[in-house]
Amino acid sequence: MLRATLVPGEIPEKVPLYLNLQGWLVYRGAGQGYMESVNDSDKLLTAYRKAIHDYPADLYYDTGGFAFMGFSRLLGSDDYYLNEEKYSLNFKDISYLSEDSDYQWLIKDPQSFLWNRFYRQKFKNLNNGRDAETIREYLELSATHFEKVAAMKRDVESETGSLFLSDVPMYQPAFDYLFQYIIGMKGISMAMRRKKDLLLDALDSFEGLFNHYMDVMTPPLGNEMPFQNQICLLGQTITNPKQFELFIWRHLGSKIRRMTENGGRFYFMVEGAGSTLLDYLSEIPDGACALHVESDPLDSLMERFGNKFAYVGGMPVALLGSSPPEVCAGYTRDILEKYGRSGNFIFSTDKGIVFEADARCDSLKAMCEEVGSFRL
Amino acid sequence: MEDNNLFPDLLEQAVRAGGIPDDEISAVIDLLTFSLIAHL
Repeated sequence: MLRATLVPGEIPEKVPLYLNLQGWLVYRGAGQGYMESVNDSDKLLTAYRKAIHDYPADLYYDTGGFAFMGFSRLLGSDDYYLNEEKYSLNFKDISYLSEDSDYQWLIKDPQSFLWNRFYRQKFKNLNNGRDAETIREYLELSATHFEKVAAMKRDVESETGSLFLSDVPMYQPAFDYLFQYIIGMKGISMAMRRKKDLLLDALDSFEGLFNHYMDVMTPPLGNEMPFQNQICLLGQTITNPKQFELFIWRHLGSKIRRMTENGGRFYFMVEGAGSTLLDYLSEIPDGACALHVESDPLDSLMERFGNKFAYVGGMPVALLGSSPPEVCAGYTRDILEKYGRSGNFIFSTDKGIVFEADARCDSLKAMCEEVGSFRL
Repeated sequence: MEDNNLFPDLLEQAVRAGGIPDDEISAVIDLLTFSLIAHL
């Protein structure tokens, strides 16, 4: 069904529903606090199991495997704040890359830079004489946690047939990796202006390392899956058109060509507005991409790109979080009628459901029921 | 660079001490490098 949305001219039997559930709705819905949930694999998975039962969908982002904060705690990171009351997480804007010598180090040997500089500074337990013990504990925790996550996914898939997008190999261009995890927002803005050549070389070095890891450790899925890869992009929101082409598209464009050259399909999550990225999307082959842009109206995307893509979205979280079930059900029906009949539509919310204001539980249930009962 | 480097020597020792066979150590280090970057 999901795959059919990408085949031009093919109409699936129903409009698939994709949900990205996180935070308040999941943990509070299970009667649990935020910190106790994200620091305990069993509680985390129990909460997600209930959410998946309460809100039936064809595709979910995850079962909470990536929401687990036990790894950061074990490694000794204090780069984030957990807000128990709001069930939310914020991270500090810290730059671990500023000196020219560190850039040179990253350019010359990215693995050495990561371990001997970045990880050691960020993860306090890799720099306090407990390095070996921390790594052993990390390996043990990873094995235990991801075995539980995989077991739960198998159960859900066998019981409901639902799939998880987190099982699809994810690509992020080096620019996004660098600014989201290593250099921060202020740091990348300054580097784009003042260290252009060093930044370019650092990005090339990083891209090479992470493409190698993706090739070796997360090869594309088989053709029987709806998507072989996924891309998540945020960098277009903080770059001007010239910077986008120079720092992001140089890698992203090349990766998309590789992903699609043998008929590969990918899910493309564009956080925020598409911005300059939209000017490059015509290069993507028809039927290769399910496009989910947070802030651009579906009408404008469809008018611009026609049947080139499957489009993902339709329900604004602002409406879902503020309106009663009957209003959301009516809105859902209208959207299904408007976009669903063409066959290249996956119903979802514009953004992930993270905060209390993003969805009323009763309205989200009504939305799921409406999509689940709609037939093409 | 610092004198007491984690990568590659200390890291190899730590992974080996964790019970990983010799022929899998390099792959496990790659996996660790790839995994750690996304932790907050």
